[in-house]
Amino acid sequence: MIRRAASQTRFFWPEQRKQLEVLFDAILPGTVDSPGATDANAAELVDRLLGAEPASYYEVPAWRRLYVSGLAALDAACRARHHVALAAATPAHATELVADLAAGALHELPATPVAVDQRQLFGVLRAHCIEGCFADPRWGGNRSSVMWSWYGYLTPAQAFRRGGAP
Amino acid sequence: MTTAATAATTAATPAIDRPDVIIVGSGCGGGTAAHALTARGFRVVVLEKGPRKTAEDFLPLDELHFLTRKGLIPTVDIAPQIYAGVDGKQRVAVERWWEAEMVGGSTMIWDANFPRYTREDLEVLTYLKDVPKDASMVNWPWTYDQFQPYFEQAEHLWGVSGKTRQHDHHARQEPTRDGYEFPMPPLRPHASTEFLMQAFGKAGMKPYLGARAINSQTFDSRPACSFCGYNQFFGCAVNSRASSVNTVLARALATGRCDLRPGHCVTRLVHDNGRVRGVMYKTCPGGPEQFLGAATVLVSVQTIQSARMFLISEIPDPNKLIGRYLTYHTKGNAELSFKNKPVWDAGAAYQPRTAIGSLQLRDLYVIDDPGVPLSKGGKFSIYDPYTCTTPIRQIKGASLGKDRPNVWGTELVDYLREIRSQGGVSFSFTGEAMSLYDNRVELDDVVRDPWGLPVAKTYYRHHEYDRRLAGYALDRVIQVMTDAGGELRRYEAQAEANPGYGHVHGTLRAGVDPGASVLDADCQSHTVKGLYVLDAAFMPTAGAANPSLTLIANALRVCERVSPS
Repeated sequence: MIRRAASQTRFFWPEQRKQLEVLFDAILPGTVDSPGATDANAAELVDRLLGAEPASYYEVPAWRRLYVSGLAALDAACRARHHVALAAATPAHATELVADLAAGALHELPATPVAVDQRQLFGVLRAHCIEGCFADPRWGGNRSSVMWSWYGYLTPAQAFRRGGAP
Repeated sequence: MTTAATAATTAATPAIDRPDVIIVGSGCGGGTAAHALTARGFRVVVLEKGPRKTAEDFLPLDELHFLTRKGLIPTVDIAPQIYAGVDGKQRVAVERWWEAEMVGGSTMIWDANFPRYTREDLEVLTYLKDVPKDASMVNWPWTYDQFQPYFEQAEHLWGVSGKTRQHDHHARQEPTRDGYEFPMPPLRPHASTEFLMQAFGKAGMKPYLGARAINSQTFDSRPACSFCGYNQFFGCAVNSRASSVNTVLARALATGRCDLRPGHCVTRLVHDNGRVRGVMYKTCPGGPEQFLGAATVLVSVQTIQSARMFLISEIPDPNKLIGRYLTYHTKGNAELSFKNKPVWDAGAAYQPRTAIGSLQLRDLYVIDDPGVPLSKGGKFSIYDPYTCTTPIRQIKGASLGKDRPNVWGTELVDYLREIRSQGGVSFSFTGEAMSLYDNRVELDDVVRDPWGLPVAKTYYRHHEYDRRLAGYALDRVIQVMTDAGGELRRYEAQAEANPGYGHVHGTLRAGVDPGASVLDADCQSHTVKGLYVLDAAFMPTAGAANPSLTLIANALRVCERVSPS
């Protein structure tokens, strides 16, 4: 069975949700004239995707396990490298972590309690960040169609100006 | 509202207990056979494993649900295919991308790219020089001229938009008889068409507007395409895109001689003493097997699944050829961006946001280049990546060059800025593939599908010829585009491994020699009389174009020869 509507139940604890938002902001950052994952509230799509019953889509159980172990491992790596929780990491620190994760070279990633496949984790994070930005808003991300409007999907591309920017 | 186009999804069909012909599968081969045989007065039962789907099943159009989460194909957890890897020792569960299990089959989700296979494909040994020693390339047992009347019949039956003989190259590359024309003019071109024609013209190449089984105007009681922006892997809720349901099955059902039975999974073909007797089927997983008899059984359930059905049914195979010579087309993709071109303006004369590619390029179908050991090539479909591809799919593939795939962070922002402001082009290559005996389908000895049947296991590696061909063809078009100011962004050439994505053919080769083929020249089993195969399993070699039209033309040809007794 594949659900055709977003779950109303969320999956992450607040700390995990914040960690995911930090990572997604590194994967697709907003700029003064372009919206990013934070503007789209992209993490909301993943929160609801994993909050759905496991039978809703066959990859949900595996994704739940990957996120729980992956976020914990990345938090530990961030604390070891930057002496700060992942949820409070600066964009520069988060970008550095994601870069090493993408290269499979994040040496601070703990091997226990679960060894995380770094490239697999990066692949899922990148894919879900893009889905959270560019899927139909009914799934929880792409808030107010902000990414579609700027990208030019379904309507001509619109300019984006961050608050107060000229 | 019930129209002829939707009748096949809603109409009650007559119960036929003693059919002249059983047709297994309701996609392009099975549906075409239902039409052709009922038109000849025969009574047929069509057994389709999947359910009926209607417009409500395809709406609301949603990329995440239908494309990203593969909403209309079997999910890999329930009914996978097992890929053994290039070393034959792996066990990778993969999706069956082109096996939409529903009435109409994969014609419900295809992109309806409808080129003909041509002389170069059917008479491959004339055009393929220096055949690799380990490849088994053979001419088809029919000529292009023999196929021509069936191509014409198929193009009008399924409703093709396009234009024949658009220029001298096209007239030579896709020959049609004098005076022949498609039933509809081409779909509106992309705004990039003029620029691309000029750029390729400087290199001595000429693209053309491709044939599509998509209405460019009202035809066969179906409306013109609304350019909704969703095509491949999405259902067409308004029936502008042809399917088995809204063309051939609708006609077959209107005769009263077609009993269409969704939810009927054929579990094996019944035969004895070299004759087919009928089929065993189930109407629910775990349910009892039931028998339906007929002296003629036509199988059309997709290449790999037809081979699987032959293996499960223990069709006599004295030469060990069932499942062999599986071919996937050689694939390749490239995308470029033009700093000197603003994003293509979708004015009224052009396609608006849509997912329909228009331009095709056959100038590398035969390669005449003394610098490379390649001769039989392939065809490009040319798209505007920004307007043809839905955003999640497009952006997941965001790349900034050969060595910079799958970008993220500020590079992804750069990519997005570029694609929304600069003109772009993307190429999808469909190329010839070397037929190898070891590329094959077997029955998996571990995994069973919900009906209790062993799933298919594929062994596949692309020959070095295929990989060189993809690289060469991509490099040629990239050079033309670079000369026109383009910068390479995405580049994907065929790898040696192919877990199961792409047009698929072979496995039950047709031929005149019973010692070298599974089917005879009428696509009837050499060893079980009355048993025919109509999907692309019959194709002796891969050819180098989208195979559906040729499959349909062949089904029409075969159904003229079927003599139920």
